[in-house]
Amino acid sequence: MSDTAEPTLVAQAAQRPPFYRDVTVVKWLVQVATLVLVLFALYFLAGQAGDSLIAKDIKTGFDFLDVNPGINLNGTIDNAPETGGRALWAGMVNTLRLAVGGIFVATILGILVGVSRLSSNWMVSKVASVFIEYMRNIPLLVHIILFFAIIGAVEKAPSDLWPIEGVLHVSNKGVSIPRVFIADGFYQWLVFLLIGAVIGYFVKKQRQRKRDDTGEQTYPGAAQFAVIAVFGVIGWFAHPLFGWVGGIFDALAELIDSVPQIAVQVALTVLAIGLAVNWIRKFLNSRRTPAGLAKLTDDDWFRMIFAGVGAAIGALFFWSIWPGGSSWLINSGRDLFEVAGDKFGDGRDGWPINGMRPDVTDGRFANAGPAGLNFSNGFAAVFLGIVLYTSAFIAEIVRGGILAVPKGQTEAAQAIGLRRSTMLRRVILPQAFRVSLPPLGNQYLNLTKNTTLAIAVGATDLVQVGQTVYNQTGKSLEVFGIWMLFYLACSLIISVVVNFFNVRLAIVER
Amino acid sequence: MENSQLDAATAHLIANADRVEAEEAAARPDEPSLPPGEWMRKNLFQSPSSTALTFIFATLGILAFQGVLNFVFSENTAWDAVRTNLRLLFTQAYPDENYTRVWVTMGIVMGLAGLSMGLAKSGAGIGVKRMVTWLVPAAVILGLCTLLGQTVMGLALAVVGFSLVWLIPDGGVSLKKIATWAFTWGGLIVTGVLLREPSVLKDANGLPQWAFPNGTFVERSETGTLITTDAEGVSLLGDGESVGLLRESFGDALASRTGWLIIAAVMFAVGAAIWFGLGEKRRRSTFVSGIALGVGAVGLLVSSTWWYKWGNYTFADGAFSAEPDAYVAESTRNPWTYLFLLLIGAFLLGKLIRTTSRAGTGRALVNLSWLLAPFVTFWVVLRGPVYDWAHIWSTDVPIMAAFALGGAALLWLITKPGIGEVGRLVATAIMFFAIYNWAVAFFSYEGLDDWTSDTNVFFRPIQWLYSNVFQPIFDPVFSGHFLDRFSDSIQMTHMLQVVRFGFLFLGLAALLAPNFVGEARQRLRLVYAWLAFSVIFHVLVTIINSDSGIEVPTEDFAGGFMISIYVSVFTMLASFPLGVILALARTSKLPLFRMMSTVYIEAFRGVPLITMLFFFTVFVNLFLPEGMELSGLAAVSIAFTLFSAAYLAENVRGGLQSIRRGQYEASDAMGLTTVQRTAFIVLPQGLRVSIPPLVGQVIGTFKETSLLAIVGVFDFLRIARDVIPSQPEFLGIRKEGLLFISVVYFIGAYAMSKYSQRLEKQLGVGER
Repeated sequence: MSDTAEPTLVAQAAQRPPFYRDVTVVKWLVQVATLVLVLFALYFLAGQAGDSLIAKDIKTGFDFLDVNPGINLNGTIDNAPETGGRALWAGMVNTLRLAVGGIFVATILGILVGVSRLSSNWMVSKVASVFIEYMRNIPLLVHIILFFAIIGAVEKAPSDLWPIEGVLHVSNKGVSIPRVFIADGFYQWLVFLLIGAVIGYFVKKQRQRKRDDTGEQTYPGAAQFAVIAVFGVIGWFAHPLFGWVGGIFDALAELIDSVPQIAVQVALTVLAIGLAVNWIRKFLNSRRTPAGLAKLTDDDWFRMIFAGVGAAIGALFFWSIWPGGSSWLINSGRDLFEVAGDKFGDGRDGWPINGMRPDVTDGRFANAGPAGLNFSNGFAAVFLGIVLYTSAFIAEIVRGGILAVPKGQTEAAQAIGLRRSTMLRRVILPQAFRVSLPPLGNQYLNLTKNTTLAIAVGATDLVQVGQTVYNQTGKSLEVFGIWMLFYLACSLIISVVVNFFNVRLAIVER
Repeated sequence: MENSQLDAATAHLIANADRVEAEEAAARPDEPSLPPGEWMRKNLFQSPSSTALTFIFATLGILAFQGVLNFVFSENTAWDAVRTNLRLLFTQAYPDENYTRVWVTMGIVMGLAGLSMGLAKSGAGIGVKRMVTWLVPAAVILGLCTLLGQTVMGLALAVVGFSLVWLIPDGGVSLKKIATWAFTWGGLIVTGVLLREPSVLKDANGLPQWAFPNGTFVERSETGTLITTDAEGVSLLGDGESVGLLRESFGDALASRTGWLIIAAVMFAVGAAIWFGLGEKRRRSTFVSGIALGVGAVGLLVSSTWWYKWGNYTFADGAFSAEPDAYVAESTRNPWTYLFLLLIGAFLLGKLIRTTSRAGTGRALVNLSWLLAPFVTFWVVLRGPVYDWAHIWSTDVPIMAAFALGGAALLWLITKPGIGEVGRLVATAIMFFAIYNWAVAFFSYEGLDDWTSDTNVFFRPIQWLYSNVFQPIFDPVFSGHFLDRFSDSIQMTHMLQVVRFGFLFLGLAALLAPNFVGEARQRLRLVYAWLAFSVIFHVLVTIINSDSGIEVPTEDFAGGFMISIYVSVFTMLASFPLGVILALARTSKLPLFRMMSTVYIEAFRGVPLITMLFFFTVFVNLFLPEGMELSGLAAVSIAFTLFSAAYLAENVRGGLQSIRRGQYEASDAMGLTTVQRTAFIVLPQGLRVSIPPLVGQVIGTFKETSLLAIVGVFDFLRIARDVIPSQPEFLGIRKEGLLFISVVYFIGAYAMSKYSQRLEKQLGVGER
């Protein structure tokens, strides 16, 4: 790619080829032509879709989000949603339940299986590898449907002690396990914990300094933990004291509500233009040499022009394409703080965290009142399926990570006389974790996307609710757009989190 | 798997781990094989904690295995549902009178497989020692699980455990040994309690039977609930008593499973015989070829249809007929016998070719046949096209001849030495014309209903040709019906579509032409390649455009496992070029290409496959111009391809990025053009590094095809989940079918992953 070679001689400059043979020009021409072609094709397809919708007399628009869809869901936060938006929200919550719970359980199980797979004990390693191969080589959907068929066939007799009474209940009516939930006063208790964490941080710093100064062992980590624990215990009982925190959030909500829309539009425009200007400035800086600004090639000009065009389109977006976006931002911000104000609001009694066990009478779950965590059969099958399936992959990643640690590390650790457990904890696992993190993140992404298979067994998730909604309202394109946005957002969040840790864990090279 | 696609990072990590483990195993000094007791002490009972772990995991493993075995061998398991519906599962409702087509397809696959195996460079094979170390534990586990009947089983286990510990030779009684003993006994007791055989007896309705403490049955009410109170509502149970599940007695269990005990004993005996018969040295150095082992197993299975009465289960005239005491139907046995003989014959032929000097050519031809086989078998053999010869002679053959010969002449001319810029200009002109054709076709689609009003002026000469040259020639032949055909807009569309594709390919070939400028031999290579390609292409298109002669109740002629296989093969074949292009674009230095490729890849990777499939089945026809429609299967295949390409691009990108800068600099220094550098330097090295994730992706695609079931295609999974359980004879029988397809999927995916490990070893991937 030496197409931007500097013309060092005047003679060369004079020999500049005609524009249709100029690599830079042809390069950009081809790129722009392709882009235009692609955009035009997309525009054409969208136009076709519009025509077809008109021809079929289907009206588009997001108004269905505010209309009662007339559907019933099961196993969600709101089984008789009053608006389409609420129904989709209930689906999203279920998807998030599956994803977050699945990630948590699959990680633990995966690490256990992965370490077992490497055990020197023949039995342990063989059982683990059979589990991994079985889960890995069969499609997840087949697993889920098979689990669903099996759970559905479990028959519950009045006095059978299996599964374990009070802890796990499986029957063709569903699955129930104990549940731990956030009760009144949890958020106020959180304030205590926060204060404890801040004080604990300073205690730890101070103790570390003392240790470094005097050389005596001061247990900084333990001290920090003790401080947090003390605050946690005090807060457990004293949490009603912090009821006034809610007022702060209420005030913030009012403040945000009073911001005019135009101010947000101006701010967003400034942001878009600022980003472009910043990019161009950085770009010019990188082209600056001690002798002054280097001669800019055509390539560089193209780049800067595109940055400018991008900024202009971005700014235009908030003014003419979607002006409502700014007020949407304001409203969401206000709602967020209003909810926070409500949660942190005053005077709650009782335990911040509470638990319940399955309440089964005559093989039926309690329909109302405190009881365990009840899943429908489909939900349990999907959860089991994605957890076991993903944990097999996580196990392989863990094994790969551990084996990727160079042998010299183990030998060195043995040479300085570390015990096996210390060696694992301090030498092998930290390095293995660094290698495994990116693939681990990918598995989390896959798990989140795999929750959509719930539709095959009739468990409620975003896709299933979406399908029900568009069958009722005919708004298929809109629902599809919401799906895309939601899953893209989930992917983005997971990637950001994983990348954050990845950057922190990366080897700092000198 | 859905999103079961192994991403590049994971695949490389796992491949690396496999390599490290293989290296460690190879680097270990040749230890003499340990006697069983010594081996157990070293690998199972090193320490108290290790002993405890052994028992915990053994319990888990046996529980799971036993659960499966119990289900498989239970009297109540309706394997008839699977046995009877094997054809349905694999080929859906493919009509009996056309079934030869399926056998021909299998014959092509078998023949190619035999040739490939014969031609393959033989590896070391499978060590006998390893085989025995698998055979014996498998026999022990099978025997144990079969035996684990009732509480008696606890005793049996205790005896086994005691003898194990007794077998372990140890010098003196140490604290460690006492602890190990204690843990062994504790483990045995826990295992015994947990493994209480849950082989539950069931009543006529398939529901588990319950008994009162005195052993009498608990009856069921009409609603299926258990009756534990008498008519007055007084409980029949005493204080603290409860009803219990009625279980099979040990004797019954043993009697019903004698066959399996014999199998376990035979396995054990064979293992022991090999172990002790060969002796230390030969045990280690004897290898059995994997191919021989596999072919032997298949041969055994096929020959067993002649001497073992597997039973004949079928739907005869729509009614279920089961003859458990009969040989397999001849319509199954004979084809399989012929197929097996074909496999052997092809294998021997391959071996023969391998000894000659033509082995390389043979291998290339077989590989090419593998590439063509999916298209030929699917559209020619299985689809059973009904040819419209009048149309073929009047339209398809002239178009083919024009493109093949005209294109060959053109390519011959523009590769003349010293042609200079003219060649490139001609190529560019053809390409522009091809693109123009496509643009016009798309934006004025409606015009094609009446082909004479096609807005594409370039087709006017063709029109003229047809009405003034072909019509006078062909009208007498087809008694005046020649132009009638073209009132059928579908056929017209097909013809124009072929012409458009033809120009596009010709443009591509012409753009490649400058690389072949030179002496006659080199030029002829391009010309021959073009001739072969255009003949194959036109013949295939003609066949695809002919109507199918297979009559099936569903929309598509293919279904069951057949469709799962074909969709995954076509997905991989179609997504490979697309994925490579996307990967090249993403690693390119041209920012707009990079941006477009990135947006595409991230958008497709960010959303779940199932939503894409819904999009393509529900909405895609909204986006197409009026009059253009995609069939359900085509839409789904496109969705799979687009989705798979995004993942493939990421896998290939990983490989491309691993290429060192020096390679680029060296190729620049040699004066290679960008195309040459990409084709001869970058891609070969990059793709080699990408092999682990690419094979992972093939497996992933294979598994993902199970999602076809959700979008309404009658694939393998859907038949097991919906179709069989809705047959009146097998109402609600679902688990059996699902377990069966699990096994088939497992065999496919596991074989592929093992093959990829061997491939990596051969190619030395990962070693630098």
